[in-house]
Amino acid sequence: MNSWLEVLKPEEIEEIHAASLEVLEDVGVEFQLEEARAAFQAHGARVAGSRVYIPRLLIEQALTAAPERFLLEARNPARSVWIGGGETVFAPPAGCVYVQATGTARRSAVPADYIDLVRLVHQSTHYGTNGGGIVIPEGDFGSDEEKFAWLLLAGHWYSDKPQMGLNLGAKVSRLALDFSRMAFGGRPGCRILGTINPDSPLMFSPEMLASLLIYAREGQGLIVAPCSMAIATSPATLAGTLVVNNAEILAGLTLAQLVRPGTPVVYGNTSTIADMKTMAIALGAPELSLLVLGTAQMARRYRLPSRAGGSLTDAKEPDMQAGLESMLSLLSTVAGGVSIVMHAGGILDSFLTLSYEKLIIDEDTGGMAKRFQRGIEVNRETLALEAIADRGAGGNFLDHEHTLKHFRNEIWRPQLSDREVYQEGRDYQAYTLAKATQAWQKRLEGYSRPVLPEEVEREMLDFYHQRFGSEPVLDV
Amino acid sequence: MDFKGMNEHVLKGNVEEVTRGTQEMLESGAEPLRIISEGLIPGMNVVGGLFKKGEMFVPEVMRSAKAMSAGIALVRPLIADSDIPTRGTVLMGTVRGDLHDIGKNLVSMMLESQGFTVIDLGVNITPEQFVAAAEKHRPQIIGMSALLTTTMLAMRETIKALQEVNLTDGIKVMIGGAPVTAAFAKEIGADGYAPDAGSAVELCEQFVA
Repeated sequence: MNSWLEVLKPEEIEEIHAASLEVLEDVGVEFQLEEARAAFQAHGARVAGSRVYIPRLLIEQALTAAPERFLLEARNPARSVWIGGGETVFAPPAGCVYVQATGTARRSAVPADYIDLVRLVHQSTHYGTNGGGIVIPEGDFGSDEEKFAWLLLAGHWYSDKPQMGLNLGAKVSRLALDFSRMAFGGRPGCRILGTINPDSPLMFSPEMLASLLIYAREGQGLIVAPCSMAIATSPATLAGTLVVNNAEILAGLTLAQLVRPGTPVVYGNTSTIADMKTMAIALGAPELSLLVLGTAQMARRYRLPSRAGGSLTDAKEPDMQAGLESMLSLLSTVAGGVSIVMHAGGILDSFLTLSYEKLIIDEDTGGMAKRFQRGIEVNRETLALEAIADRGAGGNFLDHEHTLKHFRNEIWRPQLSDREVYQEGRDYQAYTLAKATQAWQKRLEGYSRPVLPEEVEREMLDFYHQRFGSEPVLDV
Repeated sequence: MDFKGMNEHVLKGNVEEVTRGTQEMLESGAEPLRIISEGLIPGMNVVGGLFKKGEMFVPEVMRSAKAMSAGIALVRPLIADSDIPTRGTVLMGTVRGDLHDIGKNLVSMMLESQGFTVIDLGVNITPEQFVAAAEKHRPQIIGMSALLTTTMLAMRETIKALQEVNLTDGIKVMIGGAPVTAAFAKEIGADGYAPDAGSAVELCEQFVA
């Protein structure tokens, strides 16, 4: 077994843990929903106004109740994935408002983009999950609620991979659970994974709390993930940022366990720094990658699955900046042993834009990172003494049995990177990007929909119609 | 302490020294308005220049602004409101449905640091509240902020509400926030868009020039 890339010493992890407990007990956390405060109060926490002061005993009890790993189920059981336990699962982006493809300028996402993206992610071996709000499209919807319902429905409609949730208050969270229940035909289990974002520092909004309570009561999967920006919404030092983030995550996790012990909760963190001149979020920063590694370690300390990182960049095009920043963040994410990685491909412009080409390029980023993480396996077989003796000095290993046995597994091959000799007349500015364009276009052409049972599709369409008085735009 | 020393302390963001210096000057009979215009503002102007050049950063600018404000707070009771130098009044708020205030606060503080008077309405401000406040304070500029793609549409409604009572004739409207773009600003009839706090100050400077 290979070891994870780590940046905190064991005693430093304990220092961060102790500091967070102090914050939870003495500074407290703002819970802006009476029901949430009542749950804490009923278990002995001190409540003053909207501030909850959480005693360490409650935290320790919650940590005991939360599972170390859980199965995030897909409607096609063969596609279910374990969250936690050592594997790294890639998830698509969430919440992008713009899309971009080679040859066209950035534009607002529309419903057809969402359908195409779900189709692409469905066919990719890189992404283990699908759905959620990959992009939030502009479109002819009667209300925001209808738009989110459509996103949830289309996620199930076009893919049988495990689905990410949507959480923007009680109504949307209920819709997420309703559609997943229908898609699963009543099958039990954790069938959706939604994110709860505390507002750093140390605050949970009424909307997020309502969503948390709804998911927890049904035992559905929750990622509690702050997104603070060091300097602005958390301390400038990365250790201080981890203290605040850790307190936020533990506070959310504790609430979920109070509501329903055993609720699957992922220890999440998407924090980074604010640029010191513009105060804009900086995802391509090396500090983000350090926080990713620290987050993965804290999660292991608590025996919890983790969510952090992604293939992240602030670049506006899939260019040099995008490449180097994305690789740093995704390599850290994978080498750090993060359990589930949202935004594992396609992101440009600090989460705002989804690039079709980068969705494909990042399959290579992830492939490279995963190969790197596998490391060098050393044993009698891999030392290859027999092959060396057979072919000796001046020979080659091309067709040796040992080569044939190992090369496909040992050596990873990119789908895009150019390893050919220089070709006269080839436009190298556009060459690799064009390959990415071809890849996603070809994949869309080859897509076929994993249909649901007819009565389930009928039930979903009826539900939508009854709720919103219109027909969802889908290919039937 | 002399004015030059005060300028230095504002530049360094030394709240205690600026407070001490201002008290000392007042006790020795310095003219209150001169303390502001020669002791405090020149220091802050240097800060503004260094920020633009990328030699000072937001945390340092805010600390300097705090130091300047500490001095102004001591002098203010001694001067008539109308005599306090201001480059213009800016009404700031995060629009309806949106509870994010950090970006808006940052813009407010940067504006104050550069001599603007800011009236901060807070978060989740309805179009009606913007209109009422604009009628009351008669600002030169209204600044609106939104962080969510779902709430940025409230900016359009707010501008409409301002237009209906003819408030946009004399008042410039600027908007900002992560999902907002220059194109969106143009589309909804805003006078300007700023991608970050530093640019918001520059935009306001253009508005009042």
